[in-house]
Amino acid sequence: MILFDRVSFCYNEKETSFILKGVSFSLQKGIINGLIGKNGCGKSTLARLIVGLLKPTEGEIQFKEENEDPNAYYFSGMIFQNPDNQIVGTTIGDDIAFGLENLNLPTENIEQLVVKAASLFGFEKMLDMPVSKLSGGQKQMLCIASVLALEPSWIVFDEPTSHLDPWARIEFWNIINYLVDNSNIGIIVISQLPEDIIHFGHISVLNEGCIIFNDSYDVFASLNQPPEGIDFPENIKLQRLLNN
Amino acid sequence: MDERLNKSKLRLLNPITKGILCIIYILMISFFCKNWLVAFNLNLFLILICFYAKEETIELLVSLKKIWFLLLIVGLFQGFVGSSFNIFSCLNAIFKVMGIFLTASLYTRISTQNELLYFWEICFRPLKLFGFSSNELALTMVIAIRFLPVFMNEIERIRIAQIARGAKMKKNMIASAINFMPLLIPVLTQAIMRSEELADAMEVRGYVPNRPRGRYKTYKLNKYDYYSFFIMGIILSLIIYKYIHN
Ligand SMILES: Nc1ncnc2c1ncn2[C@@H]1O[C@H](COP(=O)(O)OP(=O)(O)OP(=O)(O)O)[C@@H](O)[C@H]1O
Ligand SMILES: [Mg+2]
Repeated sequence: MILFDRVSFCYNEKETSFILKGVSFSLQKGIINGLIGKNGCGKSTLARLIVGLLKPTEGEIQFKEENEDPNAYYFSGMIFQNPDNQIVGTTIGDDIAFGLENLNLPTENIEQLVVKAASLFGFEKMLDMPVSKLSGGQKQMLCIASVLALEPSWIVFDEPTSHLDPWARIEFWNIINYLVDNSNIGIIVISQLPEDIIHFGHISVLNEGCIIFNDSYDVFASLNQPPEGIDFPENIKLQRLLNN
Repeated sequence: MDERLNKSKLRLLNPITKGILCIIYILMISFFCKNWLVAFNLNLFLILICFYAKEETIELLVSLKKIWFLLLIVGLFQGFVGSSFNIFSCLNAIFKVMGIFLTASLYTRISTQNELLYFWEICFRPLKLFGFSSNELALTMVIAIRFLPVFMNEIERIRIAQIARGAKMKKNMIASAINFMPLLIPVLTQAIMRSEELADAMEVRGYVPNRPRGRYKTYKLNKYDYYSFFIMGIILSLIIYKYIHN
């Protein structure tokens, strides 16, 4: 579980314009957590706070597990919008190994973990393949493999489908559903696309520095009015027309 | 990386061996060939080795086509001594340039990108004395190599976008260099945005500058490395002997 406890954030110390204004809410594992909100409302900023790229100006973000080990180290990974901008290695194997090398692990361990992560995506025979020969969808898969190799407890996806073609999107959602069902990794997906929203199990809506909605997809779909700053996806609109 | 999975013995060599042998061979050709026969023999030996190791020798030789003009010019310039033409110094010059070219292209053929980087990283280690970190330098090179194709695509994309909006692209060299200027600004802007995102992505994956890092690929010395150093030792002694007693 991630718990936001009255988290405030502004980029500039001198500035008074807070991007987040004392936000408190929590997200659970075992479900796809969606984060939506209009452009520039601070979704990416929230994601950066979760993975530790930014520190809250006020308040704190806590990670809690069921059978808690107080000394446990929680690592959160993040997948950015453009796969091309986050691949560091020149070959598939090198890129998956990058994070493991940063942990200063011995070579044998790195090799094992690289193969393990690569085999989830069928990359185990292509470890020496140059990254430049991969398709957009494959690059995205590589980014996910590289983060999974580090065994994160949470992964945040910041608009992950915007660079993918429709077929790669289907593939992407298959992977996400697989992770939710078969691993203990918490998933948060930031997206604006209506066709992504239908995959969410839990939805949080951010508007003007506050979380104005934080509940399940079903509750979201049964609202009379969409939360401020966003519109219902087409399928919910259609459902309503049919019901009337 | 070659996808035909060429398993020639030369490719099995340790990257350090490859690098050192290549440097020695080039130095040998450049400085110890007074006589065209010596230069010719060094070329011949290189080709024989390729052939023996089942390297793609024909392709290597065909690549000489790229520098035929250079060979011609160098041969002509070196051939004219005073007012007469000396065929031997002409040949010597040609074989020297050819040898250096063949050695260098063989080296890049038998090395993967990772191996090249591994070797150069080791070469950069002494720079630590001046405060450069060879690790960081190597990573910078990896990123440069990694993003080269990305930028080429980007330039192509922006160029097409500009043509689509009516920009005229000329064929000749100078005109196309001038045409390149308008591409520069968008490409640079993109590069800066990319680098910010890349820095974030690296940080999320636990990269901290100047902290010790593990290594995914390590290379051990095998028997072929010892053989090659042995053979190189013999050739080097022969060449130096010939150089002194000539
Ligand atoms: N590094 C920064 N320094 C200062 N201000 C920033 C910085 N990054 C973002 N901002 C500002 O913070 C606000 C929120 O940005 P953020 O990127 O979190 O929004 P977003 O919801 O992800 O938007 P989008 O839908 O466009 O991705 C914006 O007004 C933006 O101008
Ligand atoms: Mg954003």
